[in-house]
Amino acid sequence: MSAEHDTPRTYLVRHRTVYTYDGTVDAAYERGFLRHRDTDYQTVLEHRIVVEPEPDALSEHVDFFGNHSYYVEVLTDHSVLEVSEFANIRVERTPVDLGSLNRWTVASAAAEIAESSELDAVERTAFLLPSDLVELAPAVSAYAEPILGPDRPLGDAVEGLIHAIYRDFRYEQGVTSVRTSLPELLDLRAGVCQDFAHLAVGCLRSVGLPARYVSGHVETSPPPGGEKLEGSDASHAWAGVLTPTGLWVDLDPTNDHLVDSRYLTTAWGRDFRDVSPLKGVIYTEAKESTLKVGVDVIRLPESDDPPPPPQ
Amino acid sequence: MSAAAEYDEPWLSDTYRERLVGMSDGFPAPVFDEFLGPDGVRPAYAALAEQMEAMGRGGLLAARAEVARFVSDEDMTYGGTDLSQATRWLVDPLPLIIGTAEWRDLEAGLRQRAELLDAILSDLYTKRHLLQRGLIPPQLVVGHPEFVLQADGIRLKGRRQLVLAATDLVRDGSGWRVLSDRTQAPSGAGYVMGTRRIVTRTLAGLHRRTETAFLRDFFRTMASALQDAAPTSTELPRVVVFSPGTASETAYDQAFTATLLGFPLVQAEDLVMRQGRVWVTDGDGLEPVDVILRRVDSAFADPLELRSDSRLGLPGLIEASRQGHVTIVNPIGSGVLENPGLAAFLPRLAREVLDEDLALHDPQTWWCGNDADRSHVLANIDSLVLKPTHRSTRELDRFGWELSSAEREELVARIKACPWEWVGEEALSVSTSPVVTAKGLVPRRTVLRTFGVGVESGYTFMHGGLGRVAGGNHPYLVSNSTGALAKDVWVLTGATTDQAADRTPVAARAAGRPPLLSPRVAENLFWLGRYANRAENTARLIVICEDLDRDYAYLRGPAASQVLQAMLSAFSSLTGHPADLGNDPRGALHAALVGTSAGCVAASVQRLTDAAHEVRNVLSVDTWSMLSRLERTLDEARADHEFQPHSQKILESFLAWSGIMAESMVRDETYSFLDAGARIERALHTVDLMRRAFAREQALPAESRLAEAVLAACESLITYRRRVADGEYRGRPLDATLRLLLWDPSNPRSVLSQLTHLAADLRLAGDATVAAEVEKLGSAIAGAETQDPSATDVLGRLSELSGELRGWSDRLTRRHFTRHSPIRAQQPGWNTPWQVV
Repeated sequence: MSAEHDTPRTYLVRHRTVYTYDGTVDAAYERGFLRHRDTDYQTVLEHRIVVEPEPDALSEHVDFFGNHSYYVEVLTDHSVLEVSEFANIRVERTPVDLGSLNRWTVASAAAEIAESSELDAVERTAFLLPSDLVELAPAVSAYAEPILGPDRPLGDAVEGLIHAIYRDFRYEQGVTSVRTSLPELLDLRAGVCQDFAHLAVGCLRSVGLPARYVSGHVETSPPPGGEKLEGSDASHAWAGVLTPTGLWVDLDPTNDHLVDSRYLTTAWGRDFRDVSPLKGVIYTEAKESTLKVGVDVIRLPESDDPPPPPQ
Repeated sequence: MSAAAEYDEPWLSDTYRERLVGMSDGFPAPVFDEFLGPDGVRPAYAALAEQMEAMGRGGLLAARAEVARFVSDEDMTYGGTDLSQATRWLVDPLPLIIGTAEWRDLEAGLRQRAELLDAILSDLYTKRHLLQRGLIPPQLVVGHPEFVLQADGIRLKGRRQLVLAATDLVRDGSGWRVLSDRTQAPSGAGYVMGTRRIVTRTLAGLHRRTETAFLRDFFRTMASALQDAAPTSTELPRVVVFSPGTASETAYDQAFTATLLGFPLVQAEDLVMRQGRVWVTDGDGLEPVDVILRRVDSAFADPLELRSDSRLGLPGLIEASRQGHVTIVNPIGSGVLENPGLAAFLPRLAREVLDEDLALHDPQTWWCGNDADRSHVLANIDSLVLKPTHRSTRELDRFGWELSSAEREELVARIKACPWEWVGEEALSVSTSPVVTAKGLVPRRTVLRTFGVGVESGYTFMHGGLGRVAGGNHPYLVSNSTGALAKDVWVLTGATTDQAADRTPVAARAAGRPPLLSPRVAENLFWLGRYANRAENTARLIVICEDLDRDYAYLRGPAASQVLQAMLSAFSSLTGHPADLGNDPRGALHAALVGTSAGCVAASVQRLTDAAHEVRNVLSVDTWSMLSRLERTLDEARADHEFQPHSQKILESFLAWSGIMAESMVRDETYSFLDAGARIERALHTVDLMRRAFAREQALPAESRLAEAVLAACESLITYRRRVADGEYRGRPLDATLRLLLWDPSNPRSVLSQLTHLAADLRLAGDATVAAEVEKLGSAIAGAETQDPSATDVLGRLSELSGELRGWSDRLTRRHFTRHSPIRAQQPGWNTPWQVV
């Protein structure tokens, strides 16, 4: 991983979700994670949410995992619902030295975490137990075993996991869904970032390492010589693993590397279900709906001036 | 007094004792029996035993039959997702009796337990100190499906988070032990009161002589506790009982509890989320809801946050409660306390949290998430009760000694795979109590459910509870789904009390406001009116047609044939049942009485019963005995081709129905929709019958007889004959009949009379627009009389009138019964995945 992705930077993020229906919707109730977290590597400088039609209620609370969760209510008749987030975010991730994790083996790290009185027992437990989309089936343990063997040095094991998933699974849209289980994924050997994140989380939990599913955005590069297209950036998902010091290490098996400063964390949870970006319940006679999501992650020029407000 | 010497009737104690000693169902012996101790009948049961002796075996069986009849008359049901599959509530006539001192001790233990559970609940959804300190292992709670993360941080306004605390208890030789806690949405308080009313009617004399604590106070306390739980201090907080609907297993309990508390029973479609608040629809408006007594399980209560496929919940409910706009009782997520694994940690928690020793003990519990405990469970699996930490209705507890080796192997594998999801419990020696059966008294395993309500100062308990004994299907599994019988529980007070208090079904609280009338309730009332009237009209038509058919057998002749044919053809077009003369008119009439297709009496009665269930708590209790009689009559008619007596009985039932509606319904909006339905149905029936029966012109003798048949079908024959005798009507019978049935204002059965009532109903319901139209049509009909139109003219206009009546029914539906659009969940998929190039 080159150092160019570790420099501090500021991004403008635009995330727009548009639902279009073939009939009138009388009422829509939505829950979504419409604000990035503030963490020790990321600060939300400016933030704005726009809902069209004008919402009847918009409220926010911090959920069990510390994410910013929003409740949106639209009672105006509509056939298009648009929910947009605009944010300026400062990111500065300290590169993780995987080699330094090699002072533990997988087994010793798991044991130290389990016995630690420093770590949050509830958080540790929540991220260790199986969850709806992270079934700790025998197939998952069997896949994890050669990669995350008990005596393997922790840093090597984590790196091995990233490479193994990248190597063993084909990136292919449409073959999996929000209901695909880990054993099914292991049969398919193909999927998308959410699947790979779930699998990484499952493998880590199966050897006793607490792991979480992280949802967010990533800056992408335009094709060589080409222009970057608007809305072409992406929602993304990756995995985080807890180490005995309490440090969480984020890994992106979809792209075969550790997470760097191009990644913006929106929310984390046990799996996708805890942090689904926007879900809703609507009252309508309409039968069909289409969903469009457009994301821009624009790196702002570094200057001494404060960054421009989001628009 | 030594009870032993006096009650040694062999049928009463010896046989029973033999049966007790002979019990061998795998539970530890010896068995403690509630009724019979080693020295004979226990003192608390002395009076009951005396009464039993006086009644004798026959008397007890008669009491059992009487209790069953009362259950049927009150329509007490349990179970079934389908109304037609619901089973009757089963009641044993013999009460469980608990002495004064014993109850006091039990109550103290329950109070302590409720305080402890309340503290645990409060902690689990806020600071979670108990988990961080390891007093409760996080694994036991964090992965539990009833630990609702979405409810994290929500606190009810007052001190109490656990408002309703119900507990299932059993007694072994050493005293009461806790079988499980019911904290999700405790059911049964309504069943307790229903059972009490039935048993005290059956054993009225004994109950009068016994100083028994009454139950009503509990409902009063519960009602004020709910009102006090309102998020803001309002003069009269709006409390609703939130039911999953009539398909719920405990629909009776929900409706009767609502009635006893004096709060309206609502379903998801009666509620609306708006600006982060919960509202209930009332007529054309919305009223804010302050407190929700939740009978919908957490997982189903909010499809936005929890199960998105739930149609029983309100999207946004959790948000409304988080924002403090509404108090949900018990709060969402309270089911986490039903985890049987907690029992292993309660003794220590009681010391740490309350600084007291736990008074009421659970069976010894080994939680498999703990290595040593798991080893113990796996080594002793044959003698333990195995329970998953999460109770789903499909997964009943396993009794180790019942397992086949294959089952044991499977269970062990499951425990090893997810040990934190299993506990092993010591098998308790569950006490027995006598049940009246055809074979005499039989001992059955017994469970007591108690009910507590928390207020600021502490918990108050219902004096008594729901006694249940194992049904015949399983020796010791006491569950309504396996046919358990209920027992009334008498707690002796040692002081005289007003025994009448529990026998009169009056709401514990003055309502203080008119009942809610949601579109759902209004629509069901309207159709209740229509179906009751339709069933009655059809039954009457069947009686008349059958009479004509019988007459025809004697009279023959063309006139009789034409009359019969005209009536049968009218009958066919009104009911949709072909009943032509050549074939078997009696068979067709019988089918129309008991058949299940639309238009049959039995089908209308079914629709009527469905509608009645939806509005159970606005109807008089007498409604149910009438409906139950009606069902019995239809059953008899099904088995008997000679159906004349049955159809007569059905007509009598509807006479009773009209009486109940006329005499016991308050004249408010509720009544107006019910009556509007009845009026529209009767007017339609009259108009359509005339249209069809008089479709063909008849010669005079036939016309006269046909007119009389139509008049009889419209309950106006006597009036007609009197008018004729008085010389009021001259001219052809057809003219007179049309006059009497259409626009005679003094005939309460005339169409004009129906319109007059309908207009009044609509005004009462606040719909002046349609009322004015109805009045206009009424004047037009009345005015037509002065022009003395010919019968042909009148008949020609009937189809227009019929269309008009149907149009009003549709308009009322659109104006007053409008429901939500269908609800749909949007669950995003893997919509924007990305792999960085």
